Amino acid sequence: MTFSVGPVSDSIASWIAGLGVPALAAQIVAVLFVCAAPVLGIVFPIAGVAQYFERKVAGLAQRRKGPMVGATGLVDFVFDLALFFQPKWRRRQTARRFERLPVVSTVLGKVRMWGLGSIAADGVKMFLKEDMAPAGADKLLFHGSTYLAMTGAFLAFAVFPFSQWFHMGDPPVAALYLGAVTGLVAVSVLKAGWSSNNKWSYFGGIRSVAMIVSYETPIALSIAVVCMWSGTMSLQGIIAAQYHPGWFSIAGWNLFQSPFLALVACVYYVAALAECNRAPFDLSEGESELVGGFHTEYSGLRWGLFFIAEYSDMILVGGLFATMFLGGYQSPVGEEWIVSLPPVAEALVHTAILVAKAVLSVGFMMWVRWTLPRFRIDQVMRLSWTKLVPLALVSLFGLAVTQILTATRTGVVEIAYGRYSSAPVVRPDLFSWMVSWAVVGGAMVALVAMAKHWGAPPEPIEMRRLTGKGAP
Amino acid sequence: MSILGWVREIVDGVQSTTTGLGLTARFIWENVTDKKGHGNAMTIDYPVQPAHVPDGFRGHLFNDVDRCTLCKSCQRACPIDCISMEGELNENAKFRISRYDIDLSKCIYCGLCTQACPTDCLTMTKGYELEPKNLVNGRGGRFLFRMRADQTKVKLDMLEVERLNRLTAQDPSACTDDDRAFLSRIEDPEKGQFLFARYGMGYYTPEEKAKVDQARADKKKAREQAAAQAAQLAAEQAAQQSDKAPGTAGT
Repeated sequence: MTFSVGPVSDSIASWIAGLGVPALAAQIVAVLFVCAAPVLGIVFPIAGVAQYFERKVAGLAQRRKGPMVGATGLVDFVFDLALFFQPKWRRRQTARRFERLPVVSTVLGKVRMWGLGSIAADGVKMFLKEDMAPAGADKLLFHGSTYLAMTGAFLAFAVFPFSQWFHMGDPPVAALYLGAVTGLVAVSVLKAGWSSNNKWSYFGGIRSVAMIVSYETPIALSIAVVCMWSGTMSLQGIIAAQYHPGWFSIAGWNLFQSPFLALVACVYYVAALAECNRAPFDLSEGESELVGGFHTEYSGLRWGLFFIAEYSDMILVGGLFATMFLGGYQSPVGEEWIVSLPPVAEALVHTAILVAKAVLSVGFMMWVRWTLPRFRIDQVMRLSWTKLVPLALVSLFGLAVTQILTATRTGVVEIAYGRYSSAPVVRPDLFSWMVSWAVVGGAMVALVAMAKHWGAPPEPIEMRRLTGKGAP
Repeated sequence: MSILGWVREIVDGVQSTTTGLGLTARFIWENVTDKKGHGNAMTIDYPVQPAHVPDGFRGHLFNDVDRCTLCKSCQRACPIDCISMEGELNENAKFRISRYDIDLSKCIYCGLCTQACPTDCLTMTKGYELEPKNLVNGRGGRFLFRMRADQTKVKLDMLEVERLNRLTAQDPSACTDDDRAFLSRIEDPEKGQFLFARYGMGYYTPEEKAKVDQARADKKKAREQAAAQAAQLAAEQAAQQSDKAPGTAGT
């Protein structure tokens, strides 16, 4: 009996077994390591540091300086211990004199300027705060929903391909599975809001569920478009179908295959922003009207779990966007040199590439968050049902037609990529590609130009309410 | 809603979003690539960089004791009685101030005393910090909330107070060794160095506060009594005059 999830776990198991551990135990440890490594080694650190970068980006975008935590408290603490029997003013005076030493002031100035102390301070604060539950709260749900929030985010990583060799599993219906587990966010948020015994929390939970249920539709449609184009619902298959030999491997990425895929990428990203409760769709925690939204009553580490779940969702969305449209873990400058590496090295390089893409996406989300104000609930609903869903449907039909027309010219092929070969896919040759971009892209540009000239300028929603004209 | 209107809504939304993204991108870029230091943020890095204090700012009071004539105009103008002073005649038979206290725990920084001052020796500075190096004369912000002589463990007589006063008004480098020895001798072991007669008293004990409040209430009562008596007197005089007036008119 052997446990294995691929060559990476095999190599680790043989290395552990070489230390004198029984083979079965070594295999189990190796599989557990491969399963836990993405979450513990990638998601947790990024989520921990992301709060700092979020605040820094916020400060920079608003012409502030962002976090600038000094080390004053730490220096004071050290001198309190060192000069315990001195009067307090003498201890403080000595600490200030120490801080004014040239080298010390330079180092402390850097720490203060970059605000690095806030990372540690946040962590310490989160662990030390009292864990409280409000009176009248449903304790089981109140405590359980924090774990459920994490569960939804982390279950998605079970099928998430970090490399050809580095994943927990690759079910042929991974896309369906993702749609199912990412919906768990709504459940946890609703449970948290309901069990808090607080009307503001409850409003936050209800808003979040209304929004997430609406945005599941465009997400499912855009995933369907990608699956249709790749001919498979397996994430490894989708990535394999984007393989393009040679140094110019960007040419294989789904984003550039067809204007419809580019359109659906935008639809997916906007809908996924809403799915992880990110600004400008963070209605569930609209602090200006709902105090803290669904996590108003949570403190300390329980709040931290929600927070980590949010950032895990962001990383997941970034990774899925990369998987579906940006070639997944494939590098933008040729793949052959990576695939020829030994499995562990290849896994490391591919993971680094995918994490880089996901982190870029997280950065973009921060940029968006500190640019756009929060939407109203009716604006959110209108955006989903009157804009994103029709756009996704148009892309679905448009891409189907494109595929049929292209297939009659080029036929279907199978792409061999490392361990995987793709399902039979339509791969446009240069002529079909140029024609599709020229025709569809030209039509889009023409439509936009016509709309700018002849389209009725959109009336503000308040005017519609007052005049009763042009109601959607 | 026509299809072109629908497209127009999308296009306008995308355009406004990209405009906003460009704006924040510009802010971030300018902030990150600023050569002068940490960004071109509007934030003033306050304790390190000086904060901007506008003209007409009413900060700590400063009394130039050499020009003060001890007229007590400021004391009368003060609406909350936080100024107290003592003086003596100097060798030229002029009043010279020997103690000038402003109780900073009570001062409301209204500036009425500076308007009342006839010699303009009492002025409001731009200082608002208690940090020594940022004070007007560069000396002793810690002294502002010092204790009064009868509250400290070290007791000073009037000569010592005057000497301390003189030493704190002059440049620290001009102190002789004897002066330094004197300063270190009167240093309070708990609170550090303190200064008399330049700025006012800070802390009250509850008993003392009660005493001061009682004294102030007595003063106010006496003033009111005097005013009432004066009014009564005036009324009696007016009544006498009006009693006399018809008689004089009659005769």
